[in-house]
Amino acid sequence: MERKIGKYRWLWAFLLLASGLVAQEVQLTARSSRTSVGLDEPFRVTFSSNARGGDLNPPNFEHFIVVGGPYSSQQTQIINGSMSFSRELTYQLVAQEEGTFSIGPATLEVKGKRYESNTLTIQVKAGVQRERSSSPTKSVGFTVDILSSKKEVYVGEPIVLLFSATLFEQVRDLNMLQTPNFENVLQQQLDFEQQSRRERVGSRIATILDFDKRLIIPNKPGTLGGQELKITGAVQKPTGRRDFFNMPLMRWEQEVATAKIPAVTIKPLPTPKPAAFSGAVGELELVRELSRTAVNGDESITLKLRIEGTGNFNTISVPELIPPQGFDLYDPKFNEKIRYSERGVRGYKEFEYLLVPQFKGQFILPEMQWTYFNTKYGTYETITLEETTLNVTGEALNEASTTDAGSTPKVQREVSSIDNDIRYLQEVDENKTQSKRPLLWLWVVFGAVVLGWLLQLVSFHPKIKSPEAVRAAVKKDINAAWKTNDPEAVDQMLNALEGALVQRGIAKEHISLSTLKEVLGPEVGGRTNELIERLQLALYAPNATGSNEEWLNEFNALWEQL
Amino acid sequence: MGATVISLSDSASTLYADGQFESARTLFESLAEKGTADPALYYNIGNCYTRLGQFGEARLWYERSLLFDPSNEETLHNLEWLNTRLTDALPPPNDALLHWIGHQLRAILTPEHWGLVAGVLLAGAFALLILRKFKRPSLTWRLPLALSSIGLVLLLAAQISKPQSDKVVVVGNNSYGYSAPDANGKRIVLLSEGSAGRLVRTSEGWFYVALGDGRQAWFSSDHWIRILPINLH
Repeated sequence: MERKIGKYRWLWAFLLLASGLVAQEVQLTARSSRTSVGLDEPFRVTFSSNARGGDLNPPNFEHFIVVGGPYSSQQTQIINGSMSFSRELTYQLVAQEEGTFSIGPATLEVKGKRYESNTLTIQVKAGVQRERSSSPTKSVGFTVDILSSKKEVYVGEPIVLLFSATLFEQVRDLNMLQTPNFENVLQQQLDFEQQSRRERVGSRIATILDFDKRLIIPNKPGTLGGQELKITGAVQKPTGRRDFFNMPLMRWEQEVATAKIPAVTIKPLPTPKPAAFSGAVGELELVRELSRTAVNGDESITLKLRIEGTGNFNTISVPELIPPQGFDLYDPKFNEKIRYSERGVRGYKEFEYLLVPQFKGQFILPEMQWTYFNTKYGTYETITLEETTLNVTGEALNEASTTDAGSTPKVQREVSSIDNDIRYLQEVDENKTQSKRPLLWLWVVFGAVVLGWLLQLVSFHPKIKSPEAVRAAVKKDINAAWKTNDPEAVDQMLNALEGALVQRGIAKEHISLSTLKEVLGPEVGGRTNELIERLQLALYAPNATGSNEEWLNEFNALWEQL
Repeated sequence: MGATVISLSDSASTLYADGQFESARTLFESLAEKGTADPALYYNIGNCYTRLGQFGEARLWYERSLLFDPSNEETLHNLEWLNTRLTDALPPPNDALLHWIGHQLRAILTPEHWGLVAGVLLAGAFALLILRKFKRPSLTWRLPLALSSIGLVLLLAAQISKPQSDKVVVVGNNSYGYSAPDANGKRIVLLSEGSAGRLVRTSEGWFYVALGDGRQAWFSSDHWIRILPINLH
């Protein structure tokens, strides 16, 4: 039995260890090399786990910058037959601002189960911040500086910022952690080769490395400054120990250096600005170059219009040429050469025109004016390119000659040979004048037509006549009918009388001698009754009628009294 | 034996024939100043300016003549000839639609003739309407309606064909165009004598002119004259 155990003791030991490990619970811890750090002072945060597998995810290092790592390591230990395993993930951080900050827990997922580390609290103090830029202490491996080309500029005037690192030790992996963030400026990273040189800084020899160059063109007045540049690098430092050959042992330590941009005052451009101000700022010139001013008909002129000097070339545009008369102008060719240096932006922008003459004679290349702000004198300057006369000769072209007519030259026309070219005078009608309102009468006629149409819509109704008028009209009608021997005359007269009696309150069926006498009086009533009877008789027996004239007279007499 | 009355235009024509173009122009222009509104007079003044070599003014008067008599062949010929000499001048942009229609109508009849025809038709319509209302109610309404409609159209034609123009012409020396109505502003164009454009708006002493190539600029009104109204300077 002992022999059997001895034969398999290693196997037993392995199984025991394995079972012990399996039974061991997964642990994830976080620790920091320091709990109180200064600004820009690197420190380490390490996450340890005893789990062999799984994904270890670091937290979001808010308020800190990762300047090194992650460095991972694993370790297996067997002590007194007990085996342990651990793995670590280490980050090198620097704080970005003062205060007390927490670093959240890292997470580890093993076989679908999620584990979290503890949270770290780090206190960041300004007092621990190291001296920058000047008088470096011995412990500083490198510093960084920002050099500005100007301390005071106008809006639109370019500034060049040079980022330079001073290396006192061997430094590797130099990186920009944070670049200045400008507002209201046009920023452009300039292409240039990194340059290094050896210089004495204080009592030490250092390597100066210019590693970045930027062009800044401010758009608004104010102060440019305060923004930070932060770089990191691994510095070689002695450990204080020596190796077997008595050579000093070195190690690489991560360091951070910070520099602030020196304050640059951005002044507004003076007001009032000239109306023709182009927006160009700097020390500039407007140049117009002509390949020739006298040209044959089959030749052309090359005209270059150029802005050159130092200024905000990124936003400058060359003014358009005012084309001369008598020339064909082709689309210009654009040339540009701009160099960026600590002194600003130098170069030129140019339009190259080709002028092809179309006519023979003298033509004016117009005067041009261009206004910019001169930063040297702090004033607006207007550059004037004077008018230039271009002489065109050539038999193939039409003639035209130029004379000086006052201040502005003018093309003088050839008129001596036009006798047969233009038509002669026409006969003038001196009495023909232009009316001030030639069509007024026509609108009046049109108005009459509109009125005519309106009349068509209006129908005429007879007016309501007064009783007297009605009576008079009836009498008139009866008289007219009677005199023309109208057969209806008797009927009309009888109807008129009956109608009149109705108006007096005597209905037709109540007409009688007594009623008439009672209402109209004895005399008129009797006469009316007699006339009515005669008329009724005449109506039914026309031959028995008496004198027509007599009846009419009687009717007229009674009508007035009824 | 009666006295021969020599008119101003005859005198001017005689001076012109003698080669005294400046004097002839003065006389012709005095006629225009007195109110004579004959396209032939404008044509003659244009001829005087042509002879004097002042092609900007010549173009102005030829354009004025054509405005009232668009189909006058002699004016068209002389203006065409002038354009061959003004090749460095910028032609005007196209007329506005209403002005173009008016121009076409004027080429057919003068505004007065359009008005006359319209007046006859409208008067006929009016007479028929009165007759229908008061004497012959049975008269059909279709005839006066047709006469009224045609008369109205012709009335509008007469109205539209009245000479109207927003053209302006460079008559002086070369005229600089500015981006703003300010002599210190940015110069953007130079136009030569005889160039024309359409007047968009005016500001004290400045014309904002639309050019034939699509550009617009402010010009000093000293160098430009409007085709209408006809003001002598």
